[in-house]
Amino acid sequence: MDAEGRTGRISETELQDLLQEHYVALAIPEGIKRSLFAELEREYGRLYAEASRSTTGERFRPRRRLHVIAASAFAALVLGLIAIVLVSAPANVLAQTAKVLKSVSTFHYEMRVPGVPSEGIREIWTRGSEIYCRLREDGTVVAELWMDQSRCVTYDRQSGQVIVSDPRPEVAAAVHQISAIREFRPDDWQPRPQRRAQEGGRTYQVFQMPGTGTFSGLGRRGEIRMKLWVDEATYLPAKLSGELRPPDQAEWEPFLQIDFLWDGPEVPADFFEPKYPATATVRETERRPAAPAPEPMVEPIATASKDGRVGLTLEKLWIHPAGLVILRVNLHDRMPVARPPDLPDPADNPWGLKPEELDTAVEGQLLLDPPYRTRRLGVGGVPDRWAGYLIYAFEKGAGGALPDTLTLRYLLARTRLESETSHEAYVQALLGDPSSWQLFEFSVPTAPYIVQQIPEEIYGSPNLHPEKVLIPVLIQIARSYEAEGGSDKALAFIRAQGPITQSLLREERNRLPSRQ
Amino acid sequence: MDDERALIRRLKRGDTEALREFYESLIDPLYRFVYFQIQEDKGFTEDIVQETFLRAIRSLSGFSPGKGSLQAWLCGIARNCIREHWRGLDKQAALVQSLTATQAEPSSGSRGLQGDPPLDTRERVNITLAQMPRAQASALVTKYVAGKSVREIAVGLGKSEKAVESLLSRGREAFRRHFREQARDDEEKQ
Repeated sequence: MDAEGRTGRISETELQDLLQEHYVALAIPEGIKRSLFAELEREYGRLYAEASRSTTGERFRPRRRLHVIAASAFAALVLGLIAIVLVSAPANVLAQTAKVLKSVSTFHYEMRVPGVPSEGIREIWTRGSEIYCRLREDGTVVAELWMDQSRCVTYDRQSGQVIVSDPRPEVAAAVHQISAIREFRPDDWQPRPQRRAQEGGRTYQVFQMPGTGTFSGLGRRGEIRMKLWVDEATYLPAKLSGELRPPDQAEWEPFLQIDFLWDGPEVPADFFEPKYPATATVRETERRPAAPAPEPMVEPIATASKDGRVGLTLEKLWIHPAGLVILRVNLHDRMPVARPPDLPDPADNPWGLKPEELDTAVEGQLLLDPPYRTRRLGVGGVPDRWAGYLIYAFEKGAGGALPDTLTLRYLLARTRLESETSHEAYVQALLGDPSSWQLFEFSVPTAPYIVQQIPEEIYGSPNLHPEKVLIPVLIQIARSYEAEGGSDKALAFIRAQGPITQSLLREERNRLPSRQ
Repeated sequence: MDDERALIRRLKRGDTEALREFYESLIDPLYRFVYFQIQEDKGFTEDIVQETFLRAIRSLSGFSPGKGSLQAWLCGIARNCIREHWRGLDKQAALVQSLTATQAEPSSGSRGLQGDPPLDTRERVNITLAQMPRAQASALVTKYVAGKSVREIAVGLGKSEKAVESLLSRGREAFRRHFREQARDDEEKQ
């Protein structure tokens, strides 16, 4: 036998030499093993359910008493789902819908959960980033919740207690707890063909969520899928409906329905103020001391494609030395899709695309100069803006430390996307046409962007799912720090994180069995 | 083989315990098989292993016990996934090269525009072990890497020394066969 094993019979001695020299003991991390199996189990369950189509399991019985936190979680879920459905809708409808949404400052929607009597209707109003929820039981308001960017006020009428708390950890923890939207992966973006539906003399365009997600909360657990009805005459969202399939059932069942009441009465501004009486007990939740926030970029860096028609602005950049790059970018090609020409924003649209040029889709890939090997962890939108977050993990090659400058090259593909385009055809169009790709290059000094804390603003993204894409990586980092420098180093890493990250890390860690 | 046939029957009936058995018995060799074909990139390995299992359960009826073991069937599916992986990276590398004035480095994990790349001896040895029946691979490693005697292996496995000798003998044959196949595949690539 030669060194490549091409000829002859391998003797026992040669076999022993080969094994001794080249065998590598390889163990799959338990966490990876479990997560792969969870994915497989879910797909297997789905396939089997589709094949068998049998109905079992109990009917939904609503809880008599809903906890206040469930209301905030539910509000976050609903808003998240609306955002995701809107993101998934084809561009022409998005443009119209966005226009109307911008022009109507307040709307009211009603939620109905099948099986819940009429007095169980929950009411939620939103105005901009404010949310007001009211929970009724047997016709009586039992709890109220009011939330904006800076605080969350809950009033439990039964106990007469008002709780004022920092909303962001609460919302983030609630969203994580119900794990309602984290399974919706933007990477699997695949618009379903729209269909028309007639109801009550009106015509609606119906969009189905591109995939399913998981829901757990309010005493219910299972897979959910959502549909959005858009009124063809007004392009206003008219109805959002959801179906749920519990783990032990094969059939989908109606889960919730939200009717948007655009022509309903305007909610007065003071309605958003909490209605708790002056005698209520007010308790401030404990605020954790905030770790120093990461430094944002001072000057955004903008660049345009060769033809000047597509632009990318690197707005913020964070580099964690353990191997994470987080970018916030504004992609000017995509922006006008949701911002119609009559709502110009020159700062956001320096390239001035025309409406007929809007039907394009983009796909990007971040490349770092060797020896860095990158892997995309997640992509998500920035709330209220046509910008996005990109999270990449990178592995340093032999040599170790970060260089003084880092070159980020962003490959962007554009292709015309028809509403009937399949995902395969879409990918094929991108890969098969190199001329559609544009390369954006940024060379930045690394020092100003090195941070120890993961920026907490990413948790505001409705479809990034940091708890799914980022937290497992942070756990790995903590473990590698522990292996390198003991538990002190791992703890220092965790303590450097902000409250949301810490809270998510704790939850994730609790879900994992103890280490070997 | 009868066990595997029964396992597939249970899988088709929706038996989640069967799914766990299927996964537990094949995840380790499959992971090793993919890991060393994919230049030891853990991220890509996980993606491909997952895709392989998903494709397998979507096409359970494609498994034919007469044509080979479940492990061999799964490795076949993984090979296709790996080929697709390399093709994707090649296209990406081509794009980078066409878009940059200087000859940019190919993107992560790619060896350039050459498709499924040949393997080195280290990769071939480990892939060979991954393709062998687990008991045989484990016996070879215990004997030739850990340096255990036949008697020690027999005690560990609760088998007779004769049975272990036979296991080792079949293991050596399987190793030689798979190793040769790897070499032949590489010659064809070149």
